[in-house]
Amino acid sequence: MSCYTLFIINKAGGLIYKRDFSADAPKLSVNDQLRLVSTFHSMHAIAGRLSPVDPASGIDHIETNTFQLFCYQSLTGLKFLITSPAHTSGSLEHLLFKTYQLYSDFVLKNPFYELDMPIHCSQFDTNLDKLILGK
Amino acid sequence: MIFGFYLFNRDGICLYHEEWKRSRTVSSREDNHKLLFGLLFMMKAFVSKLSPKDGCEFHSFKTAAFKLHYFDTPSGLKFVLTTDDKTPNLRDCLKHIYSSIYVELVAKSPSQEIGKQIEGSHFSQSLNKYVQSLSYFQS
Repeated sequence: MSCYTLFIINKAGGLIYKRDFSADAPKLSVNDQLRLVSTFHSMHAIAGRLSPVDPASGIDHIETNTFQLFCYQSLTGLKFLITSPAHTSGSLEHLLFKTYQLYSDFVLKNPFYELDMPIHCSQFDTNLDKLILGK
Repeated sequence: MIFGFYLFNRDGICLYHEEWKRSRTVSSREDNHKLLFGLLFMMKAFVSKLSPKDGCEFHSFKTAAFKLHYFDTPSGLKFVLTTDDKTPNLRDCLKHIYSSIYVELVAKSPSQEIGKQIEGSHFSQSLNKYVQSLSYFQS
C-alpha cells in the first residue's frame, strides 16, 4: 500500500500531525503545511454547503492526474487525510479508519496528551509505521 | 445521475448554468456561483502545492452526496459537472462539451460577446441533448 503523506487536522482546522511515508512526497515548509491544511478544512466545509442534494457532507476524495487524496472525518470533527499515487486502486478510507483507531488507542489514552494539540506520541508513530509501511 | 452543469470564464463570471436535479435549496444563484468558483480556484492552488510532480491538474472531487467533475482550458474556461457519487470520471464528456459544443456554437458565434453570459438557445439545446443522451443521466 503506497502512500505519500498522512495529515491529521483538529476540529478548528489546525494541523496536529504530519508524517511522510515515501521519499516521493513533496517537501513542504512548516508554514506551507499549516496553510494547506487550513485551506483543506475550509474547502471541506464549502463543498458541504454547495451540495445539490441532501445529506450535505464534506469532501472525502480528490482526484488529480498526479496523486489522490482521501479524507475521513470523525464524529468529533477530526479529519484524517492521506495522499497516494494517482492510480491507486480502491479507496484508502479503511486505512484512515484504522489510523483513527490507532489515534484513539495511543493518543487519546495518553494521559499527557492535551486535546487539539500537536501529537508527539512515540507509540502512535511506531504503530502507524506498522500499519502503513508494514502492509 | 447528473445534477448540473456550470461554465465559468477566467474572471469568475458564470457564463452558463443548468440544473437537472437539485433537492437542497440555496441562498441565491449568484452566491452559489461565487462559492463554487472560489472553491475551484482554491482547489487548483491546493492541488498544485500538494502534488509530488509538476503539472498537476485537478480532475474531480467527491463527497458522500455528490461528485464534481472539472475540466479547464488554457484560456481559463472552467467546465463543471455535478453528479451523484457513484458516477465514474466524466472528464471526457467535459472535453467533448468544450470541443464539439462550446467551440462550435459559442466561440465561433459572431453574436456572442466575450465575458458575457451565453445567449441564444443553440448552446442550451445542444448541451441538453448531449447530456441527456449519456447513460449516466437518469431524470
